[in-house]
Amino acid sequence: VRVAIDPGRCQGHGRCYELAPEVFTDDDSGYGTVLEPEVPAEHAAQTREAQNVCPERAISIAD
Amino acid sequence: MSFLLTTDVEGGRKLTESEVLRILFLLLAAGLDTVTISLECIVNYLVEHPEARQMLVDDPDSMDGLIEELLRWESPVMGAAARRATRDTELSGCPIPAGTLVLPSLAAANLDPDVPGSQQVDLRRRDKSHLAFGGGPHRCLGSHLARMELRVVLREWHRRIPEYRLAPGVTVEWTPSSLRGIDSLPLVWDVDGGNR
Repeated sequence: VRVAIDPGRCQGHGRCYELAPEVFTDDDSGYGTVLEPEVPAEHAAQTREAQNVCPERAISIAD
Repeated sequence: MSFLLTTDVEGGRKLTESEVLRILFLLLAAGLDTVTISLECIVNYLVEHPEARQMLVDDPDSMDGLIEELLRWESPVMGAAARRATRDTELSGCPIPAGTLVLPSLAAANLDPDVPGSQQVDLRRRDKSHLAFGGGPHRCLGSHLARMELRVVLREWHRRIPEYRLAPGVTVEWTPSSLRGIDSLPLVWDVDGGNR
């Protein structure tokens, strides 16, 4: 799957990189960023969970 | 505090003494009773729901999810900071003229009846996108610290005191405030050699 964070929506809640540190990390200001847009299958479930916990609905996933 | 005194803002100037004092006041006001009332809400829930307490004791990994769900369900901080409408607008059919102060209810959003399952507690809920810390550009900046504090307290408490209950004869009284807390929550637990 491919994952992206909309920087216009992200407010730095930090839920994604706490839940799925293999997929997301924080930038210098604490906002979420994607480590590698192409997510391997073994991390797909975590990525979807991160999408679920984002209060700003900033994470989009394309299969 | 050292950082506030030495950091540059707005292209090179230092924060004024007034700005530093106001930031520190906000840190104190926003970071003190919010975490303690959250603990009051969560511990009181665990007192009322021994099966939830037991889940936490038997499966410490369930703690993060339990905290998130109880932050949603209890909504210790019931309202977000007020916003002022910058233009005439409308929210769910309610007209809001420009200049009006709006006090959004985080508790109402967290229990939105249009969201399936929102009216029940599900300590293993997958959707944890609650608004207990608000949302948007003015979301709670201290949420990371608050979560860490809640986890440390609940983990260490239950490691040492896995079983406890409300002291006999006590009626829990909630404080009448937009910060839902309990002034006094006397607990008792068994120790070797008798009751304490």
